[in-house]
Amino acid sequence: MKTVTLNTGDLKSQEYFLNMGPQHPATHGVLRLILTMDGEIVKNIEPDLGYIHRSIEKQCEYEGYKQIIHLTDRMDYLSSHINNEAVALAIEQALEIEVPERVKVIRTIMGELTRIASHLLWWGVMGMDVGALTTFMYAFRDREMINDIMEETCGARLTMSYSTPGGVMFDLHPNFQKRVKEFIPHLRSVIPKYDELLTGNVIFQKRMKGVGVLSYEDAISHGASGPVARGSGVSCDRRIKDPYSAFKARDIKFNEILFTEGDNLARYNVRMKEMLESLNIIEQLIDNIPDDGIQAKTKALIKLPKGEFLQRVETARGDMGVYIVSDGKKNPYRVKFRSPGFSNLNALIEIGKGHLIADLVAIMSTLDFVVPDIDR
Amino acid sequence: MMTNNDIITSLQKSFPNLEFNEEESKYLTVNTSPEDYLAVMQNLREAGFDYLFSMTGMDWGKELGVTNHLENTQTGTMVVVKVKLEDRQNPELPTLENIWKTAHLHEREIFDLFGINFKGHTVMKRLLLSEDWEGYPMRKDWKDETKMIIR
Repeated sequence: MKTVTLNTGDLKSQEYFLNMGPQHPATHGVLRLILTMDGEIVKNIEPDLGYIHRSIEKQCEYEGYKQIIHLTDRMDYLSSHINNEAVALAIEQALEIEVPERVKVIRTIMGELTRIASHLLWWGVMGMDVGALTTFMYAFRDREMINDIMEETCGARLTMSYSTPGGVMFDLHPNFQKRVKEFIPHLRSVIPKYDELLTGNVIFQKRMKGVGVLSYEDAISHGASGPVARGSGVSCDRRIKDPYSAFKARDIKFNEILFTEGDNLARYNVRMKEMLESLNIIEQLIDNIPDDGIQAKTKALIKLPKGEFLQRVETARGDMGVYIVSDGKKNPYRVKFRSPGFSNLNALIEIGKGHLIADLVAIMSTLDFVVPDIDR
Repeated sequence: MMTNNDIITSLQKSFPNLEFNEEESKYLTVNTSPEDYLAVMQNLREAGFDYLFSMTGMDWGKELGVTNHLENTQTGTMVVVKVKLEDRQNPELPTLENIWKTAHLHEREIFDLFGINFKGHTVMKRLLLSEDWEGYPMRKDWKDETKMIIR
């Protein structure tokens, strides 16, 4: 028998390009990443955006201020209420309108419900991304309850367009308080089951711990915000740093969840604990909704004074900014939406390098991208 | 806590030609020339403004430019830095990639939509639009011939 000896020194490896997306289920939409691979190791990541770019910022320059709110639903559709609120707050800030306290409380409750719904969807899909299909079914069952509450009051389940400049579109449905109060204990009872199902799982823990570490300094330098930055120990919650709506009007007690590891598990834990904090916030408000109207007086045609107005809010994904430049006309001169996902994507370029491609999927999942939010 | 006056006095020491404006918005606005831009930003970074909140491409009609929102994450102070470029044919600015990593994608977006070239940027290509797109749609003089946005 002839023996073949293989001299491994002669074998040449070659880097190659791999297209991840735009039609890839783990990219949560239509994000395309051009990967430079060495075997299964990711060497470089170059995002190619624009597959769902609708030039919302340009459209805003040709719409009135009331219309703009409806466009923002379509950016981060999982935090649609908070996006609406941001634009409404920016307009109110410019016109110096003080909205009724009822509006502030309603907006905050709706915002926190939106945050829970967004985190629930993220949790379900996160499980799927790492190979646990069951989580999706549980998360969607519970998220459905929030969608039903939204449907009753806002008339829409996802793109609510509920906030208007100076108030909200409709008053609360008579069932609202009852259903929210049913939902709070329900979610409290299921979150320990979620932990049993996924968080404590050994395989899951190994996929999460120490993977995709984003350091404190890098998180700030990359402009990361929201649960991504808080997983790296950066205290950046706009609800505390720069309170708005009921966070300003009321004395709401809640904790900012901070983890310092900066890895996948830290980001995962931040979101899981944030859901409970959101429940605490809702609980402090739901029994105590004042009755002073749902709309401050505004003109039918809104014109903003000359100047520049920036409003920052905390969406489910992080620090979202609405920057309006007005020249005194009925439509804005320039609108910029600073979306949290856009800057968080910048962090992926760095922390994804050097990992296996399967880990890249897990990292993308804990960064929680919504692609229409990145593309706008 | 850093006040607006502290920022103004510390910047004026190195850059006597800067213009400051406190009326335009609720934050201090610093207007800089393209020549001083990189040095001013570096100076602010060293003064503790570690978070580049956003970079907004602007078309003021005559000039193109960028509005930067900076935040000091320790104190929560914000400052706005504006830079205007007279040359609409070949607008050029130095990149901020080496100061704040987040500038990487923000500058690519501004290049794509406003056509401002950032010198020294690692990947200066179109980001949102396709490679064969002509013109820069966020500029005010862009003609919407197919009635895509302007009805």
